[in-house]
Amino acid sequence: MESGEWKVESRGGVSVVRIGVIACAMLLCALAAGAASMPAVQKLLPAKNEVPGFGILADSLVYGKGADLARIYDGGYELYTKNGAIDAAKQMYQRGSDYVEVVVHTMKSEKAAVDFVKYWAKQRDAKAVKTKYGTGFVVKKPNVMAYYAMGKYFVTVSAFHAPDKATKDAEAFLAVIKKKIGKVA
Amino acid sequence: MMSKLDRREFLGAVAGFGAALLAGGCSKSDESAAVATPREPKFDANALAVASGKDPAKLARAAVDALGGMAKLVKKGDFVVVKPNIAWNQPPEVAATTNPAVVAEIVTMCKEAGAGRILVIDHVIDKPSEMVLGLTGIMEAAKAAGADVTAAQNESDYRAIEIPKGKAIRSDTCIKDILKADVFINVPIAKVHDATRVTLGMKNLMGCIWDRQAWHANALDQCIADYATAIRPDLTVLDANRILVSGGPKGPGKTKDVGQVIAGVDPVAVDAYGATLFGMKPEEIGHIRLAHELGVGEIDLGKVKIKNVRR
Repeated sequence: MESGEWKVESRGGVSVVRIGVIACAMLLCALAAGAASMPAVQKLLPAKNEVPGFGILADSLVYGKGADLARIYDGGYELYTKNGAIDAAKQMYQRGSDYVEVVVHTMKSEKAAVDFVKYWAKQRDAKAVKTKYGTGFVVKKPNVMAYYAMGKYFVTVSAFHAPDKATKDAEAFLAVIKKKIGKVA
Repeated sequence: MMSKLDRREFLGAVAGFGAALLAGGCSKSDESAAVATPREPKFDANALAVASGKDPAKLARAAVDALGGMAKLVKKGDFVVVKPNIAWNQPPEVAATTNPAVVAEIVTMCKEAGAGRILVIDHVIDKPSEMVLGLTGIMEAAKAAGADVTAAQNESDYRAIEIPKGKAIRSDTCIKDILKADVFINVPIAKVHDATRVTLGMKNLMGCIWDRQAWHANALDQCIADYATAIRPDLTVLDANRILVSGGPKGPGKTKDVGQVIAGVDPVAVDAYGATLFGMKPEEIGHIRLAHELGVGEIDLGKVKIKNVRR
């Protein structure tokens, strides 16, 4: 073959290029199918840099459904299933030395999501209020943690750095999730 | 000549021949299963030391000293494994994981007693484990005190073991390093637990196994008691400086500053005392009662010599 010239072999009338195109199309279909079968809670997790500066920590994604919520909460999972959690996805994010943990749960109903937020508000000596993100609250000790009902989803965002910065970051994550819920729901 | 460690492994492997089959799939390791024969207690097995005060490190030391001191347990060159609760990515204030000052002081005491290698290890639940080790404060504190710190996150870190006295489980797995250790010290934190009401010393041993979910799907309390018949720490040091009284096991939740560290050889007695910190009777806690029934230890605190010290 001369330099700069591509030789395309033909097998029974089907070119290698055509086979390649078909293979690529099949791969794209498979990827699309995979994305479609991804649990909704996983789709709601912010992607890399959706909250500016925050990357995703490798191997930090955990998904659990029903009793498999134990993958996230170990022996504490029954509290979630008893209160109407169907499934959940958790992921960790990092920006330098700042860490944020996001858990999105599908609840059996919007009411179950709100009721669970109220349960946690009682546990944390806080008051759940309606905000632009949904019904929820944010506590700042011992670390910043936001609990929100967004439609049928119960969302927690924990941030482990300095409270003021962490609160802003938690709100940025909530905003991204809220926007995604609008698209997924 | 075989080393001390090799001999122990060899004897365990011979005695446990065949249990790998029983364990069926618990471990993909080629090694045969081990029988973890409890060592003779180095302290009075019927004694509990309860140290009260404000400084977690001083309390850990005072409790161990009240039992007789770490030098009674750890000999020159020993390989010591320390197993705190490092399950969750929570800062120490949440009281979901063992206070790092307690862990560090245990490491320091082992070092002073002449220990060779000291390994702080747990099967971490939250991911990534490196972040959890850091966020809990245990990585920094234990390393500064002279220990290696790691998480047992791969199935190859575990080895099949027999549980001859088990009722719900007759075999399971254990972190290999614990089986190899000359001294194994369990350093749990006291907290409430949604499934088992409390998690103290014996429940903390769940962090020694590979497949935790198998226990959750089984009779959890019985599994905990069964496992305690096979894996017996040489010493349990219960961190009750600050205890988690709601939202356990991960928290966050309400905490209570108790200001105590409890040390003992008898895991049932340590847990029985720990249950009282939550206003519960030891008999009300399934796995404590079941472990007592299996002969693991004494549940009646009236029969235990409790030595109180203040710091």
